[in-house]
Amino acid sequence: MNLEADPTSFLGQRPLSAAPRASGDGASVKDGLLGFELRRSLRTKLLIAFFVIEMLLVSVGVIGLLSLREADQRANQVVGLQQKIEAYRQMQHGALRQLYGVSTALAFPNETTLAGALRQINQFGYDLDRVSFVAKDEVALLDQVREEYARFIAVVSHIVDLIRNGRAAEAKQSELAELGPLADKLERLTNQMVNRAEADMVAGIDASRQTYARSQILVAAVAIASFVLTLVLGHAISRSVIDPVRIIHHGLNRIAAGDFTQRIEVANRDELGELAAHVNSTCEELQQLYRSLEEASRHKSQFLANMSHELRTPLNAILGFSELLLDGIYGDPPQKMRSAIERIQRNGRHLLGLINDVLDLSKIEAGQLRLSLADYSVEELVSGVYISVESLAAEKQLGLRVAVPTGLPPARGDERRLAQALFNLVGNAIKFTDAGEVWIEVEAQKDSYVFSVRDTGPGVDEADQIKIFQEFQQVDNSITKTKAGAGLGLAIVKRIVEMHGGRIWIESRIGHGATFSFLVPARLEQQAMQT
Amino acid sequence: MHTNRRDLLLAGACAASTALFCSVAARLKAEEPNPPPETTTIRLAKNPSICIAPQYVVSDLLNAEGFTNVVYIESDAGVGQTKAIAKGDIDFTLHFSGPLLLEIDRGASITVLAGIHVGCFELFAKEGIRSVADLKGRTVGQQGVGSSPHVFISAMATLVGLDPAKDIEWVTSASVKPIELFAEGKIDAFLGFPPEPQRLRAQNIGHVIVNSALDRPWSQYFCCMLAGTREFVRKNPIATKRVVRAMLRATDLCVSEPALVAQRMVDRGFTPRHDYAVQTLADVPYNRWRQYDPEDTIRFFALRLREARMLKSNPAKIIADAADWRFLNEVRRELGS
Repeated sequence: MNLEADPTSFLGQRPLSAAPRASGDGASVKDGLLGFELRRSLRTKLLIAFFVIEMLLVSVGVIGLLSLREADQRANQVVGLQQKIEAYRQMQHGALRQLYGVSTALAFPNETTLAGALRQINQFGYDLDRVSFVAKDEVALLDQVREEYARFIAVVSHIVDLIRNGRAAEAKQSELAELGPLADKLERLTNQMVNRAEADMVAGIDASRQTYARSQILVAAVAIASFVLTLVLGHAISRSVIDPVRIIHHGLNRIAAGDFTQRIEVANRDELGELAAHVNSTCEELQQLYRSLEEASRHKSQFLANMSHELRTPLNAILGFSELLLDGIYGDPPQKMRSAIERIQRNGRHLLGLINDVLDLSKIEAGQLRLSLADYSVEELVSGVYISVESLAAEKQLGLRVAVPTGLPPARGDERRLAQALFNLVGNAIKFTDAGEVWIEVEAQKDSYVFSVRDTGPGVDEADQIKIFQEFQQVDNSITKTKAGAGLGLAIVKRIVEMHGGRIWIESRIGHGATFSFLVPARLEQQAMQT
Repeated sequence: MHTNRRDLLLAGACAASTALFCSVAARLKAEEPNPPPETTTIRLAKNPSICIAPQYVVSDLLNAEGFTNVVYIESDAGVGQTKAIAKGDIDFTLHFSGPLLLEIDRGASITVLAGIHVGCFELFAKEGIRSVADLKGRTVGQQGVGSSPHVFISAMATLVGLDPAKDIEWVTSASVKPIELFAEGKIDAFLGFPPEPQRLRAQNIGHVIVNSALDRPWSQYFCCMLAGTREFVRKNPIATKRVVRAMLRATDLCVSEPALVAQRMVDRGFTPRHDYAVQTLADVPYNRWRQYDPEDTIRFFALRLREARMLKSNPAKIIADAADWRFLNEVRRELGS
């Protein structure tokens, strides 16, 4: 067991710096449960806790064994007393039998009865010798019995002599005057020995009961104390482990959410403390890395924005001059040249669309895009989009339907960006739908509007439904390969919707078309945080 | 005034007894050792039982011991007496050891000081009941739970294997004494103490199945013992010793001068019947206090009462807590054997 001076007490907690603890840390905090200090180690703590619990179990066992031993001793003592009582009772019985024998012999004196009486007296002497072996603690009383017994023998012998000498009257006189009281006393003395032994046994039984009761209380008290201490230890250990783990878990969640500012404060000086320190250290590195990435991303977005702007200027010139060429400002171009100019113009417009998308995305990522919040009419928003895409649908001979409830209250948001989002969705629907219809629908909910664009196109596989909202991601199949696109449209829609505090989703099955919906608050008072 | 021969004899006896007591008292006065007792007042119990004759003739001897104020306080012969000494209403009493032990077991501050005499109880029963074992299922009269008859019969029943609480049907009457119930044939057995056995014998009612003065093992142990309040004994050791001495001298008088003691009891109003008093003094062995061991009496009755589940303490504890033989041993040496 590692027991040595250390600023952290057992199971105690104190804030730990992110860096590994310096060995010279002199701050002494004694808030441990047991008041002594330990080297930081979860294993040590657990070992100590289990050791303490085992010691308690051992102590309960030892107390139980000691109680059993004491009970056994008491039982042996009582058995010994019982044997003593038996011996005394035998002596008592012997004394009574002897007194009876003597009185019978003296009542009907002849040589046979007198000899028998003397024999019985000797037998009683044998009983006395046997009792002397048992009654070591009652020597004085036994000596008194012996003394009285000797006197008794002397008197009986004297009376027998008198009878044998024919002096019956004197013998009777002596019997009444001396033998009676002596026999009485002998009887009382033997009774006394029995009573003493019985009293000792009763006292022994009482002591045994008291020992049992005391043992019960002791074992119960130790068991309760062990139970309480085990609970306290278990609680302390679990607190020492679970609390830091929970703190670390919350810290990791914060880090995962991009919050690198808060430190994980774990008081332990054990492995968990080290883990927290390492997490803090890693967090700092991550924070630095994140800052670098942010900086790089900002630079990239700035570069893209600048580049888009710089690209658009000459591209607009190309588109403008090519349009002038087609309009015949510089004379009618030959048919071959017209065809080439039309290609230039078509590709130029496509390029401009791409550049605009990149520019928008860059602005959003660079945090430069700000919503212009104002009241707008949902009907007018949808109507504007319809007008923009009507010709595209007509070119592909697709039906274009609009379903907007009438009398909707004015909404608040960035109308232009929402129109852009809806336009992108409808444009995609028309682009990927070769036959059938495209529906533009609006549903008014409690505090929000849901804009949906439904088509009868090829649909989107479930595996691709998340991917398509990411930048430069498109469904990789034969259909998309034939359609132009950089995979930025849905990403921009998603960003615009999220800037409105809304969300976008798709419901689709391969071969059954697709429905793109986004929900935005009916009245947005403040731009949501960009994600 | 007409004077007959009986009156003359009575007057002569009174004169003789007074002279005798005066001579004993005078001798005591002469041998009175210093210092004087801590108190000059002694309170003793007075009840209908006359086996405690020494208590009733001890006043002159107490006066000679330096107690100028000997007060007899009325109490019944049973539970009331043990309660009175437990409460400190009386200072000393002669009482059967059984009830004393019960009260000591309950925590009463009583100290047993000496054994006085043996065997004053006689168990009377109807025809057909020959032994204690025959009491099973029979009605037995008593003055109350914890009274001397109740305790004594319980001890006797336990010794022969009966459960006194279950096997005996106890009859307790507040209005009619057990002896009257027995005389009327309403109960099967009854334990009498003097002068009740003398009266029953005179009236030829029932027969004795146990005589504690003659029958073993009861005859081997004290019946009535001298007990005092523990506080009095602790505070007044000189007075206590003088009380013990006076009481044992009075007991000796019961042996040496029973007629005079009987007359004294009648004269002083402790009992109305001189003949019963004389019989009692002849029946009860007052000459055993020197030979018998009072501690063994306590031990014996404590064992029996514990067997009867009437006592919780063990004999050793009771002896340790509530027996003090120092005064007795000193008085024994002084009075000789």
